[in-house]
Amino acid sequence: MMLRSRERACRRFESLSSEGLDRTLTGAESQFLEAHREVCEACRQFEEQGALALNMLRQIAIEPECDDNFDRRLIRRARTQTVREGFRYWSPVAVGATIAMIGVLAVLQVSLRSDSLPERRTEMGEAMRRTSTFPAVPELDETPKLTP
Amino acid sequence: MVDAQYSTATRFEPGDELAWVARCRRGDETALALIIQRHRNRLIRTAANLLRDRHEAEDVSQEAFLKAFRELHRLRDDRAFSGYLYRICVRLCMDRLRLKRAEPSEFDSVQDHEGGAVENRVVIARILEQLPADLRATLVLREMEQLSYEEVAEVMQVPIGTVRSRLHTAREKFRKLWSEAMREL
Repeated sequence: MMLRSRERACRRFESLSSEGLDRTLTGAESQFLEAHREVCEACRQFEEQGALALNMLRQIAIEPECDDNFDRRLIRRARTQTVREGFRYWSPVAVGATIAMIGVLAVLQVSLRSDSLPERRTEMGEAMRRTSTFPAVPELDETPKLTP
Repeated sequence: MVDAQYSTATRFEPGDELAWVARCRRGDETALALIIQRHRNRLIRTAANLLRDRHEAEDVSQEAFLKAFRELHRLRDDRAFSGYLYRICVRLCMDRLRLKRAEPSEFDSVQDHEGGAVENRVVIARILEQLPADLRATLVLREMEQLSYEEVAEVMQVPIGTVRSRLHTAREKFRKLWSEAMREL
């Protein structure tokens, strides 16, 4: 029973010591921490180690010096990106225009070809009549006479 | 230092950001240079603290700037540009951290260290490597970058309660790993 309440107190201590880093603890909470620190060696050590670890963490924060070429390189990349984005934006239009142009060329080609075909003129209003008779075939019994 | 053509540009006043972002939208390179100049140090520092690698930090910062410029049309309020840019940078860093975690490095355990020869800086860097990306980012943003809970929540796009619980877990894990490492040394 004693052990459980001690464990509970240790857990509360851990939780409050962590919360104490971000907010002001109430009077009762501070008193609890103080009292527990007095009686619990493990929690005291835990708290000290924790504070040390977090201090170390803050101390090793990197403050990098910016490379002189950083801006130049970035602006160059931004320029390239703008060109690429522009190309990507306009590329569907370019593809569409190309397809349309190919279509127009094809139509022009066909119309030019039909213009070059021999023209058959017929009398006005008269439909062209095809003669169904074939050209006369000489009779088989009539052998052509060869002249010497 | 920026190019000579940009050095003649006027100094950046805090209230001017709105105008510079608007000019940036129109493709004005002077505005672009000024915005880069204004935000680069903060971005590189945060990325370096998250990734523990200066070169990678520069790389990520450049990516963040490019992404922010590319998607500037999505930003509804130009006043939010600074937070928007910072958020992109942190997110890119977290993506890299997740990828790194997927491929365990040779320094995956702090127990591998040789006695007192190891500096605290190295130990802490390796402890950080052992934390999951979310916890690590929360801890770094709060403890190293000194952001408030609200700012961390905004950057990581999670509720404040989540920030609180992540920070608590991260601190506990960090303390535990630190104590273990100190015992080993």
